[in-house]
Amino acid sequence: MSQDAEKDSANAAQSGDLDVQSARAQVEEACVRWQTDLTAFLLGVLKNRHLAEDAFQKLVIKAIEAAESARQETLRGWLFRIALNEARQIQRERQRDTVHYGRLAEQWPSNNTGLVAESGLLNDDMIQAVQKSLKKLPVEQQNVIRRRIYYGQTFAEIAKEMNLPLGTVLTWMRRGLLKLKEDAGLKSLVGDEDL
Amino acid sequence: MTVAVEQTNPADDRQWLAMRYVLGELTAEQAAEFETAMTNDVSLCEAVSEAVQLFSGVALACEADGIAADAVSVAPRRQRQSRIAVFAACSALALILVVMFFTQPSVNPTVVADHSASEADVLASLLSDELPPETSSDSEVDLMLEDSLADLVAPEWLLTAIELDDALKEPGEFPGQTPDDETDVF
Repeated sequence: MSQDAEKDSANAAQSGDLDVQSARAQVEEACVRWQTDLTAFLLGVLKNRHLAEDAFQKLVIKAIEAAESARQETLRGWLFRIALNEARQIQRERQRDTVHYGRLAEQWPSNNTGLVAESGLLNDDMIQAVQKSLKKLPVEQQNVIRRRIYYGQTFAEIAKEMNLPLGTVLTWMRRGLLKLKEDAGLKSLVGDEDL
Repeated sequence: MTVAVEQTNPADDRQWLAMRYVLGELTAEQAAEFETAMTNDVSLCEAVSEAVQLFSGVALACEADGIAADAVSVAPRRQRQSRIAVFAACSALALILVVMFFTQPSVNPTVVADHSASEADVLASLLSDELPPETSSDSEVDLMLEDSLADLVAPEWLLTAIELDDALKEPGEFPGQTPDDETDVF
């Protein structure tokens, strides 16, 4: 091997190291930037705040280790896939533990909102925007949403207490939530700048 | 006959499915299918993340503005049941006390005292009306005897016998004054 070839090889190796370091730095930055979205996703899958926090830590480590295979244009989706794999792995571990198996069926508990709140996305402006958007909804939709999300009542319980058919309650919930999601005030705060 | 069908678009359906997944409303099979679908469709992962953040915002908004505290009849079922149980227990206790009060009047010392006093008065009046033997008047007994004798009519033969007896008590006045003489008479 000539000296030129050795120099080229050395430069390539050095360039590769730089690429790896650069890729890891980008992945790390992306994990910080999308931490709220990723932890919210993990919370939605695992339905447990502590498990979601643990899963996010593992997600960051695995993503940094595999940063070389990441591409900038698909980085966000790539992180979501890692998060899903991590969550499913945790679910499988929990399924093996018969003591905790029943917890897989637990429904959305309101105390898990703390994880998202602590992440910093839901600041006072966001909460006020949600308040305004919520009050724009018809009263019956507000009532159903509040009962289900804040009080943690099941739809069957809500239907029974409001003396309504279950289908009506589900319809009001669906319409209300989709209106909230599409509300201009909320969209302006959440935005799509992260996407 | 026409049936009004709500027009939905696939995007809304996916959002609603993600919301139901987060809320735990899907069956185990549906949830497994949804998670499998997420591995091939990152937009579903995004929908789950958005749903969690929306629900968190709603919960914090309800907590912040006190809407939930002012909501009427929205209290958790357990609290309502406990209130009903306490109310029922208090009502039952009050009912028992009322029943005991009306069905067992002797328990009340005031009523007992009144009742005893009235009984004592009645007894005293009875005792005062029932005269002892030594206090009863002879005149009253005589009157009773006179009444009973008034009903009697003395037979003729008895009066004759009495007159004869009286005559025998005066010797010499009539023949056969002694019993031995009677045989002579008859």
